[in-house]
Amino acid sequence: MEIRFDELKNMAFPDEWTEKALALPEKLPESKRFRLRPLYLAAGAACLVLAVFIGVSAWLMKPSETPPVMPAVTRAPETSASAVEAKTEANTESAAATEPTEEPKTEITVSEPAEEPVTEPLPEITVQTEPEPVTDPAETSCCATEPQIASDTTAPTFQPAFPDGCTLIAVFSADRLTEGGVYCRMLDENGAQLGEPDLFDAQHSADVIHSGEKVRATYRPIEKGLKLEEGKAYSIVFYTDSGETLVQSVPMPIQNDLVIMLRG
Amino acid sequence: MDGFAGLSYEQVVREYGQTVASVCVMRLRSRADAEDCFQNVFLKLLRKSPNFCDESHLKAWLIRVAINECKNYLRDNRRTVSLDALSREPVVFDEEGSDLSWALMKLPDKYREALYLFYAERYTVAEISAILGKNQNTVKTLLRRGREKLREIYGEE
Repeated sequence: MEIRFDELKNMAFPDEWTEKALALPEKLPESKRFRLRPLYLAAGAACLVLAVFIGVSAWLMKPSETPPVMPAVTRAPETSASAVEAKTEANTESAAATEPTEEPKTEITVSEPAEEPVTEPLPEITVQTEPEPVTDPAETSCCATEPQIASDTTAPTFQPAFPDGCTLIAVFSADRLTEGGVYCRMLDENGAQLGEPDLFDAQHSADVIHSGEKVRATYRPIEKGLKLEEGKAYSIVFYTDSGETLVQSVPMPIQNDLVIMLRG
Repeated sequence: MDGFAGLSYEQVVREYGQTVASVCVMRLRSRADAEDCFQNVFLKLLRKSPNFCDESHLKAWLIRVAINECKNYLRDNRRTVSLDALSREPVVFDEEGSDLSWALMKLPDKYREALYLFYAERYTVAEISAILGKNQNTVKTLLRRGREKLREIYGEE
């Protein structure tokens, strides 16, 4: 059977499309004018309102903040004022002048209690480390790379749908030259294939794999629209363009955020 | 306005409108959606006014922009399905006896695009790989599998 592709070139499309496209240069400046002007006006008005709001709020805040600011300002020249105070005789004033100089020292002592809360959580962390070994036996087959998640969720709960983050990775050394890239398919417990028979590309960058070359192919079932069920075992097959199996996993149950590494 | 590879804007639309329309329709399968993208392609041509070396460069640019426009359109409207797209019949191909177009519409996008560029636009594998941004071997695979699938579809009907 001969397939003639020439007829594709004669594909009809309405003349309106051409007419509209030809009218674009005339509409372009107008559309710019009509769209941009309101945009600029709105942006300008918004900036103006914002500036007024900031100005008013700053003005309202000023009187309330000035009293505490004032002593802070007077504290700064205290070093120079202390020299002046040395000339004056008032003991009470000098005593008052020394007090603020001592204040930072008291602040340093205040910082000591700040260290105490740091020491407080330490026993809590050690408490958290205790339940972790309890959770470890539950995760036997999963080579999870996220210890934080494992420590946070003491009891791992599996989502009914296959998680987005699941990635199947195959790392193997090719024993022969193959062309056409690496493909992947998933089989269920009974060995039946899931999805289309020719799910395309395993996202391997090179299309020609030389003998002895290290291949790292990744596969994300969720992107292929596969619905995998928790607890059920699946096996993954990476194969060549000609259908030769490169590497195949043993059936293994799917778990949340599972990263399966196949090494051939 | 400066020309585009020696052509005026009107000449570009008349000369390459067919190609741009075909790419848009085959990617989107909907007349209304394809028209939007069709207009956007020429709008971009006007706004950006790129410097083209020659007409082949201009044509490749138009096809690339059309494909990108369609991708963006599909991404932005992922959650909505147009009524046109729901119908199984091709929308724009209204030539009598054009069952090839009907069969093409049943192919996945990647095969359809490669087959169209290769057979209808007469691009080489190397040129298609440059336009689609894919490896040449991948393009060959797409063409081979697309042909096989097309044959299967013809066989079914």
